Amino acid sequence: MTRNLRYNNQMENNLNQEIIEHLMHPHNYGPLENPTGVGVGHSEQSGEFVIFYIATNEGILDNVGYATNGCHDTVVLGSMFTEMIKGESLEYAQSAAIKLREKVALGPIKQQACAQMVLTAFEAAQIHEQQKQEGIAEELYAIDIEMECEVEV
Amino acid sequence: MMGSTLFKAKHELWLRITFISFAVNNPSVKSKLYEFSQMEFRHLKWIAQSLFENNLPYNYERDPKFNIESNSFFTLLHTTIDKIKALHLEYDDTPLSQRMVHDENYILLVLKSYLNELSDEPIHAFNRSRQWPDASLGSSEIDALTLFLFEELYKEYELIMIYFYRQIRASTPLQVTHFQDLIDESQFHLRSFGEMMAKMGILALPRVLHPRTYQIENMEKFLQDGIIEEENAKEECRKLSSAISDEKLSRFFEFINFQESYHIEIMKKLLKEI
Repeated sequence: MTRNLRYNNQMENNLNQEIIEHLMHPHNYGPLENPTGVGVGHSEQSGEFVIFYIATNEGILDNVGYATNGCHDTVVLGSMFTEMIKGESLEYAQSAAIKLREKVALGPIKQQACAQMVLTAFEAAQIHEQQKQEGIAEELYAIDIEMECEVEV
Repeated sequence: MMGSTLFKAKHELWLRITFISFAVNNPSVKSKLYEFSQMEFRHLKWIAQSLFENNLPYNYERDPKFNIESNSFFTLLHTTIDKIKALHLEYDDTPLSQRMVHDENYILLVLKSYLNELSDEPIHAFNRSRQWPDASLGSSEIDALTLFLFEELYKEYELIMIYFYRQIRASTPLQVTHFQDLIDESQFHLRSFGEMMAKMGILALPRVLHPRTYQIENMEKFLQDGIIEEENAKEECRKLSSAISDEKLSRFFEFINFQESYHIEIMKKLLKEI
């Protein structure tokens, strides 16, 4: 989880090459062809959303993807988080999500909101996957969140 | 028969030529390529209208491997020529297709003339140098400018494509006019910000739009939220203008800030029409 802390500090102080690369080419961006779960974290107030796709096999996240209309912090956090959990177990991903939330809690409110958007979408994707396994055929599972990320220069 | 595959290829070609126009160094080539990109955008609109009228679906997906980056002017030209030639295999024999083929044959002619008459030159638009060549800016100014440009380039692309989607579905001539004004405004801003990103070596294609972004069900709410967002964008321009010490750059952001005021008025006019 050191990547998260590094991200936090970098965005606070200065941008570095790694952040620029995530901005220019976000990793795992876009939908998956055959997701096992699709979740949305959505702010009714601002219209911002993150949609998260997971494809699991026997508890392993074989593939993940995300898309957002949110700000650059959301894009970078989504890119880093998906990179971190891709190929890992769901258990690992859940603990990574908790640690990410703890790390950004030390940073600006704006980053907390962006992280919440990404992590809520991930949580929603897992709920959706569970629902599908139980035979509840929804297209996706959405969770409304109250925080919104605003652009700060 | 026109279909979503053609729309997707045209969407990519419009983006390719637009962003190459931002990337190249030669001012006359830059200007000509931008003219061509606007031609491609009109083609895209006509294709979307045709698909919509025939109840055929289309979306804003792009090939996951779609990329424009290169450090060679000639490579950018060669790739564009190849893409246009491949696109011609998708056309049918309708008057629209014939028009597009003729336009693009002329584009091919001009691109090939550049290969014959000009020299290859290095492209700096993608080198990640993050330097502003026209003035000496501190690292915090460069960071602020970088984040602003990434944010706004995406936003302008998003707005162009949302208004484009709604314009096709407009129900009155006045709506069409207002959407066109908004598209034109965002095209200008996209060009301004894209040119700046190219100068800084951080030019990148905007992220792919998810259908949730542009398939707006409640346009009234979208415009109301959009007006608030534009007010915020004005504030961001004002903050950036204050944060940047270079007077020329600072004035540019004041100019953009002022443009947003009338942009909001156009959105209010459109709101009355919805």
